[in-house]
Amino acid sequence: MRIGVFICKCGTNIANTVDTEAVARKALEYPDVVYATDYMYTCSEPGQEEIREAIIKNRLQGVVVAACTPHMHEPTFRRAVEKAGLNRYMFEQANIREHVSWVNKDRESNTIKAMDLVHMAVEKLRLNQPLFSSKVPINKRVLVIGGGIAGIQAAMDCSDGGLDVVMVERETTIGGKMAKLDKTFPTIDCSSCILGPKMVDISQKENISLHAYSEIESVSGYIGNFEVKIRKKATYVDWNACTGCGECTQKCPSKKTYDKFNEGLGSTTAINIPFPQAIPKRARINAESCLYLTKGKCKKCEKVCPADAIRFDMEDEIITEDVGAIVVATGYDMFDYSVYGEYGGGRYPDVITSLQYERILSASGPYGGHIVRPSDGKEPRNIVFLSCVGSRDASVGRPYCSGVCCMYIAKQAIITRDHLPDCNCYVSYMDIRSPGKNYDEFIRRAQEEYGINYIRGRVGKIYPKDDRLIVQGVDTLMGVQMDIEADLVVLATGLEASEGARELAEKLRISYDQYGWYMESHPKLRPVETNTAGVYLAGVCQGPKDIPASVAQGSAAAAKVQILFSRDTIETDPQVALVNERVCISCGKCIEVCPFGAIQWKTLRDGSQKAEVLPTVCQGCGLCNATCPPKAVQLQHCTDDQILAEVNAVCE
Amino acid sequence: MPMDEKTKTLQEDFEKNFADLELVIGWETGFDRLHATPVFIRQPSELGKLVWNPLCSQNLSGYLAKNLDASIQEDGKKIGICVKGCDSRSLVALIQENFIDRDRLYIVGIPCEGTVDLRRLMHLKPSLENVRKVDIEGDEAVVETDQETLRFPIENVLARKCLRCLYPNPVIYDTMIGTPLKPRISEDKLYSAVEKFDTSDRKQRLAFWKTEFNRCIRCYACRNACPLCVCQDNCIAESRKPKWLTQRDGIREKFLFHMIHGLHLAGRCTECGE
Amino acid sequence: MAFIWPAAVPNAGNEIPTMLIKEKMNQILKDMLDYEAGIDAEAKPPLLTFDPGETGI
Repeated sequence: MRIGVFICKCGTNIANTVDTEAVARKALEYPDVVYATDYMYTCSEPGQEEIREAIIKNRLQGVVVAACTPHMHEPTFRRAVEKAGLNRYMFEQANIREHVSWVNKDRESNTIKAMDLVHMAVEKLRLNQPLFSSKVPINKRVLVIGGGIAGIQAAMDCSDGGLDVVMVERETTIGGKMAKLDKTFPTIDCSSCILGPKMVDISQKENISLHAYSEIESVSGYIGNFEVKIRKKATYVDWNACTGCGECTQKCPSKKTYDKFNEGLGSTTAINIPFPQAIPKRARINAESCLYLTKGKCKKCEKVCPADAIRFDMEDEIITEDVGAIVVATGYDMFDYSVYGEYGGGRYPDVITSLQYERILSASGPYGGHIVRPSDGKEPRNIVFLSCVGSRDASVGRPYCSGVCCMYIAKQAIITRDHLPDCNCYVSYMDIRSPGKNYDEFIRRAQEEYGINYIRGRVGKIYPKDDRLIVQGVDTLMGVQMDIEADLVVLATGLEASEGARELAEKLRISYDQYGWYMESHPKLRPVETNTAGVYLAGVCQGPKDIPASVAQGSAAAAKVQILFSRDTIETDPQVALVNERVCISCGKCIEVCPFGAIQWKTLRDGSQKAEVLPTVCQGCGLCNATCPPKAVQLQHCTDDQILAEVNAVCE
Repeated sequence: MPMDEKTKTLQEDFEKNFADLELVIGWETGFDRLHATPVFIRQPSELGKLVWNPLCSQNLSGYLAKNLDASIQEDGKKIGICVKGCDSRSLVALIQENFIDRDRLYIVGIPCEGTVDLRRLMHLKPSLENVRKVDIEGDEAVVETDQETLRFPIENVLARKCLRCLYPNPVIYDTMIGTPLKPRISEDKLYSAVEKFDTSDRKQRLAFWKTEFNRCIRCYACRNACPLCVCQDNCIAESRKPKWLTQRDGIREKFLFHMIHGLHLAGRCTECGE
Repeated sequence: MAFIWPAAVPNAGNEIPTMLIKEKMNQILKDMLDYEAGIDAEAKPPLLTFDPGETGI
């Protein structure tokens, strides 16, 4: 092979502490190197031109550039060698800036290290093979998992862009947590009034197919070509026939069913439509409380249903959808307030969660929007809001800030004062976090215009006294003990990863952090991408955020899908694993360790089974190669022999 | 249960179940009664060859993944195999890695009091002839010859692996011959050799291994005997692409070979001693 | 240096004590991952799966 070596000075970035000329001279001693030079800015247009000219003039077959990190300019240089007629993978980059000149000032040792790195790159290049990517078509349908506001936004934006959308929602209705909210900060506009029309749009768009009360069973395939199995859970009601008239819910005798939509305030019937604006507005039988399904007697709903939609023999059904991209918008759940035993959540009926309070405030809620206590239906005179219940507390495994509680406390307190001007509102807070447009002003309004008492300090204990609750804690600004007699205590429970988030992540092969929040590809620069190509994130599933941010991220995810789908094919990266079938001993270990499900069995014509890498799914992580005992799996462009050659070069 | 009775029960058990078996892998008496050697039985008439005694040291599970297609079952018949405690662990490891289908096997497990290391025995008694029987009785190995009965303390004649055995009883089996036994050592003593070795310093250890490995002739017998070395013809030691090892003779290659062998067995080695 | 094959468990033959390497490996395995090879046929051997939550490593 005829190799050319180009040492970049990077202005003074490299040249100040590396003798680039000496490195270039030394490079000529390495095997196969026929040309070596240094240059001021190799990445510049004239620098690239020099590479191209040198390739042609010296009939070079491979190029080494010693410069910055390949993250920065590998694509640049690959294009440059490609323009001169070489295969783009006949190129190696040695990082002598981040790894050398920027981390050490000693010119002499830096120069030696740069020489070593160039030597390694040369030795690796000598074993490089030309690689070629292939093109695979893209299925331009998108799956949106989760029908909360983030998923709705992503689905609408994709749909408006002309894409076919499949939406999967775990509950019987879309709308997510936002549908449960009364009003939204900082404008106090009605949540369901702004969400409702969007939900209706989802149901009316012809290019959106909605699978409600469904969950993801499995995901296989890869970017552009996912195959998703969806479990449509049994509702015991034929939704094609059901008109959502609600007759059945009037007649159902099982009236003590847990009301999930109302956060357990009050109860509902076994056959139920969660709320009047539900989309789809269809009834579902709760198999755990239905008299017929548990005790074999009743069938009242079947008798009254004018559409003959009841199907007691219904079973879960698995359907398959083929899509090219996936937007994950699975939202969150609320922290379990009973973890703080000292607050009595779950024991005292008048210690409630913030989401329960939303349902109390809501005009369509269980109390018709009248603020009353769950215990006795009386209007409260004193309400205490406790912030950071399950946020910023490492002792309960929730060291992070949930981001929205300070704002919703202010909102709830303001609405409370609007409804009941004589009711005193106290807020026990640690810090107030209100970054956002018009957010801090909103908090100030709560404090100054609405007379809400903000007390800095943590509550230690809540205990009942007569029919009231004593909230005991410390006012850390005044340095005095705080004892408030409250009629109602609202715990501002924090946000936590949605139930089942981890399991779904495993199916999607995306990563999650220790709290179950999904990991974005880069915390700043790739906030909606995941490390699995073709899977994008929207909303709180990626980490706590408010409605505007969720909506923005929903739109951003949709934009990413549109970008992907703007092409008809995707080029695969050939730097992936490849199995040498003659060496494969069919142990299947690679299949088990592959984090991406990129390896499968292949039956040869002689009947033997060998491992086969799906190049479109493979991310080139190399776990299979590390696991393979006879090293039948090799990573293209980073083979064992190449690594050994580099090691030999540096250890010589 | 005495040794002879175990042999008899073993033979009877296979006779009873032979209709379901296509092959029985066990041990038979070798060229004299001081040796036991693997036997492969396909006819019920040959079951009388089977023996069980403290000379049955070879781990027969090595034959399954390497020489027989133990993962493919065609006629519904099983392979019968005799295992000691240590051997059964190799089977488990092979089953875990899908090299063997558990349903393909009929496993006869034999609680084992330890096997005799012939080299150690011959070292103590170089001229051992006309042996009739070798057995373990408590803490002694008893060797009966035509002329005399010899008794050796087990720590002098048992195989090294048996003296530090934590699993004398099979961990997986369909039938167990005899009753479970107690291990001879406690768990905290298991790695006493390693712990002792670790007390020497790095230079000493390197020197030790250099000397030891220098004696290696890369005959690959250790690899071929190992039941979990499953790469066979594709062993990385003989692969030239990728070229982890060259054919060059020298401590570098020998050292690396043994390190690769060791690392390939990480999390898999059952210390069967083969 | 002639470092003898640990006397506590004498070695009769003239073999290279390669077992010592495997024993060391298994000792590490036991300490780090509390795993012993070949005990439970249903168990997943360590490093034979991709588990982002794998601990002890």
